[in-house]
Amino acid sequence: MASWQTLWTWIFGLSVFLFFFVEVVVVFGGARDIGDMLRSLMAHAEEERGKESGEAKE
Amino acid sequence: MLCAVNGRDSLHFIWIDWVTVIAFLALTTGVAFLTRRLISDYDSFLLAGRSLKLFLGMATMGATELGLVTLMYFSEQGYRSGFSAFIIGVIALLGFLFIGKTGFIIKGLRDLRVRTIAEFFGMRYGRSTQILAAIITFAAGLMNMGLFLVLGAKFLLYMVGLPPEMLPYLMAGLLCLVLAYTVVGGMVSVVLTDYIQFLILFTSVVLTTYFSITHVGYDTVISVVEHEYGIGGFDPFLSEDLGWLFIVWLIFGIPFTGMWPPALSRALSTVDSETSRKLYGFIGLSFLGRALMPMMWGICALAYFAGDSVIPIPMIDGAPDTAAAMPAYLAQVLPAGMRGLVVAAALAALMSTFDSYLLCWSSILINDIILPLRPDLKDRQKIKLTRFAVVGCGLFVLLWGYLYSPPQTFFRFIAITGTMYSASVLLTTAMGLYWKKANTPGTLASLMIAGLLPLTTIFLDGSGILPPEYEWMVEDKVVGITTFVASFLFIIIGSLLTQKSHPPRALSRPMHTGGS
Repeated sequence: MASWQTLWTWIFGLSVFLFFFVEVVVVFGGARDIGDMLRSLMAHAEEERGKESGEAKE
Repeated sequence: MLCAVNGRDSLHFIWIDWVTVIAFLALTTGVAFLTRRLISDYDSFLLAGRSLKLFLGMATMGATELGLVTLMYFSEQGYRSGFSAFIIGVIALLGFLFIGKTGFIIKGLRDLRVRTIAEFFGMRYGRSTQILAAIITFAAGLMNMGLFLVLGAKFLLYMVGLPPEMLPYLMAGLLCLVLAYTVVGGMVSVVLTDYIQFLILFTSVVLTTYFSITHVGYDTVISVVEHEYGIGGFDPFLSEDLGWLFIVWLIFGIPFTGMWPPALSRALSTVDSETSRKLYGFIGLSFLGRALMPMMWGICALAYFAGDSVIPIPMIDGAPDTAAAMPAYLAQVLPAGMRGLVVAAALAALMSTFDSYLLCWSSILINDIILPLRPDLKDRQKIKLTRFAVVGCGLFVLLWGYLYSPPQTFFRFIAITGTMYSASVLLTTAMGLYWKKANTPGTLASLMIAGLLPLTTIFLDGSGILPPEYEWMVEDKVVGITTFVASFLFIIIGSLLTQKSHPPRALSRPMHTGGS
């Protein structure tokens, strides 16, 4: 039983570390990606509106 | 349905807790409404224009897959199985590492640029198979999601300290909140709110774990588990609640880890297939903690209620309510202010998961069941129909969650509905991608058997319909393993027997375009 207890304790410690590590990396990287996504979507929305107004004129 | 929460009638919240929760709600709903003008076509509504980059993809997948329901069912499993439950997290980690390394299924699907997994069936096998796969995915998904609201509402009920009679009203209120911004903003608002929710959620989980363990003490936790469950509290193979059959069942699911459609829709929303693969490999590292930390909360709750606790364990129908033990415990041990943050995080968890799931099941209904029958629908009509479907799915979940009680733990119910989808849709997708001889009859047979077998557990296990000597046949572990084996055999044998009458169809790219 002692070996199982030790194993789970180490695995639990590892899980907390990995969880926190992923959080820090994703929060900083994600902030940059949001900017890129919004720019791309705004450009696409402009393009679609341009197409619609072009079709309306024709 | 519920008995008294505890001996006190007053709310656990003070002003700082309410301010935190209200500020969070204002922020997320505001973001959802501001992103409305970015929705220009169906792809931007459903897949955020396929413009998700790696880290944002991870944030949205992390937030989606760490729902309030996840915290609840893992904590309940920790309470019921002790440290043995940790094996579930370890197997999930192995699954994610496997997918991250090989790109199994996800890389193939992203390269084909399908919107949903059932669309792949249309390309590989034909319309009838696509519709059947979509119906199974939709049914399994809705039943699986059916417990989200009730578990989420139960958590909030015990954390805030509301009277038990408030449960249905709380469920309805949460549903309205999520529906409002899913219907308005689609995937763009889901992605942005997921990012905010990821930040709050992950921070709160780490902090709650600290408070949870330090209150009872790690040594006490170990000794209580040893006293309550003996060696079975640590060795999953000897656990009365789990056992080797349960572990074999979970191992069968390893190749399909994290491919529940809402998570898969993140992989399909990325800029390319390589990003999809990396997404699984990296975010998978957090999936060990996603399981183990809430399990630890449940184990700490077990230690707390086994000792001289200030309050008794919550009861349901005369028995301990093991799902409610964790929130009742946290409400007692978290300091003021922290409780508000945890409830904001819980709301974040509930909303980020629930909105994505609603959007996902609705898109399957429209994209894979309605569209093959009505291909002439315009983008605006599709968006409108999807919004109606979101509301319909939400109402179903409200009723199912209130009326249905799973026979085993909540996690095991989630696992059997997951098997209904994995063993049918995912297994046949894998065969379709990697085995040239897979054909329509073999796939249809596999889908049917794997779609139907889990229903025996869902509706018969614990119902008292079967004689006691036959009850083992509908136990989730037995049915789970049988479903995987039968599905595999059916597609192999069915395809080989019908090669001449139904030659396999080659894969072709989808007709629709849009996004990058």
